[in-house]
Amino acid sequence: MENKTLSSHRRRSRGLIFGFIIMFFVACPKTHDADFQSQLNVFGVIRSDLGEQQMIVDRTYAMDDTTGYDLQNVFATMAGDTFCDTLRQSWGIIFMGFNHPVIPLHTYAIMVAADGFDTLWGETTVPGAFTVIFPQPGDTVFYDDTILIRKSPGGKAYEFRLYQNDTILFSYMSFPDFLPDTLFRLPASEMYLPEGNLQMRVAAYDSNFFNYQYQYGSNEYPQCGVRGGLGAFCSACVNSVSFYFQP
Amino acid sequence: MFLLFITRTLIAASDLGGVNGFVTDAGNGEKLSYCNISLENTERGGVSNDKGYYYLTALPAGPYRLVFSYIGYAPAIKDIVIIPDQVITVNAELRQTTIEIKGVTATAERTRFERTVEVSHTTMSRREIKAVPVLFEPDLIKSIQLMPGVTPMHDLSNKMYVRGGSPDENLVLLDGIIVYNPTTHLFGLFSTFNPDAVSEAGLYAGGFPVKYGDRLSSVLDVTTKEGNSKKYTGEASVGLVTSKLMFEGPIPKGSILLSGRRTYFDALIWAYAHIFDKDISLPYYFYDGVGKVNFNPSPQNRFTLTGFGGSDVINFSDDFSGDTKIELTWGNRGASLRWRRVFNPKLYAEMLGVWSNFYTHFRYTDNTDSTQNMHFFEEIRSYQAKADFSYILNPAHTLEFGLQAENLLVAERWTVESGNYNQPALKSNLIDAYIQDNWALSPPVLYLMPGLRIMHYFTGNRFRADPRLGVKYHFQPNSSFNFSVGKYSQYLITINNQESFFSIFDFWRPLDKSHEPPYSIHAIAGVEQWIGEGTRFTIETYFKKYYNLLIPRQGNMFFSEPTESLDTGDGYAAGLDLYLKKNWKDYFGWASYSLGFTRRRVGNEEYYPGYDRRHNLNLVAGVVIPRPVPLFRGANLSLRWYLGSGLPYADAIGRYAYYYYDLQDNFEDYFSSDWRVIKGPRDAYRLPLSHRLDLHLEKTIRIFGLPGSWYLDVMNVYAQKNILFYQWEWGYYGSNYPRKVGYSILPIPIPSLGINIRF
Repeated sequence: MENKTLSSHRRRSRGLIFGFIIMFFVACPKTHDADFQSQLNVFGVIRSDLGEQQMIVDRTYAMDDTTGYDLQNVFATMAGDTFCDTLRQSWGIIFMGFNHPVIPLHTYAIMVAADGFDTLWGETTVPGAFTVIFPQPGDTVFYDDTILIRKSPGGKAYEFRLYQNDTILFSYMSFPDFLPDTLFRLPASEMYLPEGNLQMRVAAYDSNFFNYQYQYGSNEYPQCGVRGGLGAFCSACVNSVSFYFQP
Repeated sequence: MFLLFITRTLIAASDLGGVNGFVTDAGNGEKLSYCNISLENTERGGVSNDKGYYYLTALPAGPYRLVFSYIGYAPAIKDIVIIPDQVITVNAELRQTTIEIKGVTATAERTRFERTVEVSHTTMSRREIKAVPVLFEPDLIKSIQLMPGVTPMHDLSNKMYVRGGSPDENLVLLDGIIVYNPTTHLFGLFSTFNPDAVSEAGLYAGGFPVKYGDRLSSVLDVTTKEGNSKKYTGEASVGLVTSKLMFEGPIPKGSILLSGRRTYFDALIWAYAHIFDKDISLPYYFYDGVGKVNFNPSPQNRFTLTGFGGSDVINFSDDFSGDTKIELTWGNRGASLRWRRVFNPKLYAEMLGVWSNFYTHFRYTDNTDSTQNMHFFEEIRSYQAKADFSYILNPAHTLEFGLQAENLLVAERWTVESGNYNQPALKSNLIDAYIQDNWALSPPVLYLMPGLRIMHYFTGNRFRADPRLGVKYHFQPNSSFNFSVGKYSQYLITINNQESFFSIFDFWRPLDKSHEPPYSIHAIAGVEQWIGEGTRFTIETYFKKYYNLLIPRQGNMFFSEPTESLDTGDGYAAGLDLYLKKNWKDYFGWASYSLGFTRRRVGNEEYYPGYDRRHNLNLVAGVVIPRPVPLFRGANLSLRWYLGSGLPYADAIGRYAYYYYDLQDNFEDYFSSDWRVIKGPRDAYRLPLSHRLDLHLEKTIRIFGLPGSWYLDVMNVYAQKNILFYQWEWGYYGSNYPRKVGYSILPIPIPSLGINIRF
């Protein structure tokens, strides 16, 4: 009788131990399979003032990926209203081509493929043409003058630069929210410019550029005008004016 | 109707009588909770309540021998005569003894097991709190983390994550005073409770009774010592971080207790700098204190005034030339006045008025330019009035009922040279009422505890009713099946992230009109088994479903303000807790294991929160070192080993080059980039297993002729590097890719030592 009780007790104990072992295995903390799949990563800004367009074609990497740029058989095309050109690999990740005019308010597209990667598609609409009201080419700008630019239809961000002999004297980036009206005003007195001939370059960027540069935080996943990968395919309408500055 | 019922019952005459009174410790006058009281040679008996009060009713008239028994105390025996229709009062004082008394096995835990419906409830005495290995000095919350169902975030964490609940779901009380931020000392390293002043801490990990409310998960009810009403005694201790002093003694018709502690590194460094003319200082210290006065004008009345306060101070004023001063302080403070009144033997009441406050100050003073001066002040302040009644209807029914009103205010003030910029204060009012029946349906086999808590929250005019039920079924004399189900609502919320590794304090806000009150449903079932004398084993499973949880929006660095920006979610926590506790003559120990699953859902995203620890094991063992060990003979050695599975965390799963554009004509010359990461899901990865061994050694000695002891603690004895977080770091070996580096918060053994003197 005692042996029977003892044996029953042992069976129960073994059952309990077995149950706990099963429970431990069943309850092992599981994690998601946070699989990483490399994608194409492109960045390009087509510009109305350039004769040939340029684009970066790269990929994303696993955090501990020790290999560098290793894309094979990259095929990149850029298309406008009636043209479709294949871009050539210029240097490393930089691809060039498409020697056609980039026309304001027209839409352009890219397609990029490489071995082992999903095909990436991109599209951008070039911001509308805009005018520099003052100065006009050859004008003299005085210290108290204000540079006046009419905003571009479709422009989401503006970059304003002043050069003297290819040296950047002044650079300024602005956003639509800071422009209460259709005019963009820049007092010359705030630029600390030297006397002489200067060249002014103003770029109006599209929404893809604006989103890529200013909207995405460091931990976000930028897909600005592209699908099938990440990055940005952007456009800019650019105006240049030369003038003389008299302090 | 209810009062009429009570009154009618009170005046109902019978030929039976009763006996009531208080049970206290003869040495210091402290109450003895859950003392066993029996009438010799009968099956009649009872138990003192948590205040040491007892009442045996419906006793047939005649002579009896009344026996009070409690383990560690010599039994007190009183010969009494029960007179029909009368209740006689017999108070008992029990003397502590080291002699083992045959047949006396009644510990508070055992008595609770036999007579009360308490689910998921564990207690820790002051002795147990102080016996656990610690970092620098004993800490109540650190000790509570060793209880089943409680998990810490990391080696130094002082937050309580109870059964999948976040710290803001825990109600923390000190003698009835709500402590809003209990773990604020030394940037969250120590709790605000000085263990020297603590008598007992009880933790309800779930299924708490209706007398507690306004929290979703658990209750930590800390009771301070009553104060020695027999003689003047005290205790002083000096540790590596703080010095403490506790004094207690009798006053006319009562007792007093004063206790305080303060860090002293700042003073030591100040002294060193002045003696050796060094330009160093430590502009930080903390202090806290507890004071308690008991006054017993008559046997039926007792008034207790409790006050506590503490603060952490960072003060840079001495470091600079004196022209500028930066001061940051934060702390808890509170006071309560308790009136305990035995209206008649059946009706026992406690009325309580409470003031509770947590504040933060930031002050910048520039003596050379007053326009730069700035003062920021934020506080949460509440006033509470409570009345708790216990009415012994008959031997089978003890009703507990009460009322509670609370006024809460959260205020924020900015003061600068140009004026005051006060945010509108957030205010709320809450009225609660509860009733609960402790129903001995078929003693000593079946006990029930149905209860109901009703709340009216004035903001949004919301009424809520939280019904709860507890069942205890003794299927064997040493075994019981426990069950509890109930609803728990909460009106006070936090706006800071509860998953962060380090947070000194929570930012509390009253629930606004735009959100529905969060609530949870607890369902708990378990078995409690006593194996021989002094060994207790419990196994409990639980399921806790959450509704209307308010969770700070992901991506907010610190908190979601205003409260309207909090996300609403739900979730659940489920698991199993095992607890085995054994007290022998010269050694003690317990093992607690928790298996838990916690899920939260916000919108379409479902995830394991950052405190979802699947396995949590604590082994604690204490022993008196036997004679053959010469140096430490007679010393108390206790060890604690901890094992916990990894917590979930979000990690980067990939990286990409983010390109900067330059308005030049040629990319080749002008493009630049930096690496940015692609984050995986917030719970995609788990930290590795963590484990650690801690040690506490304490030996009794005499210091200046007074009894005392020295102690040595070593945390992380075998230098386990438990990973707290990972970081991707660049630039290793000139490579162009990052390396994942794990960081541990406690990578080396940390010793600490100190001495205690009793006088």
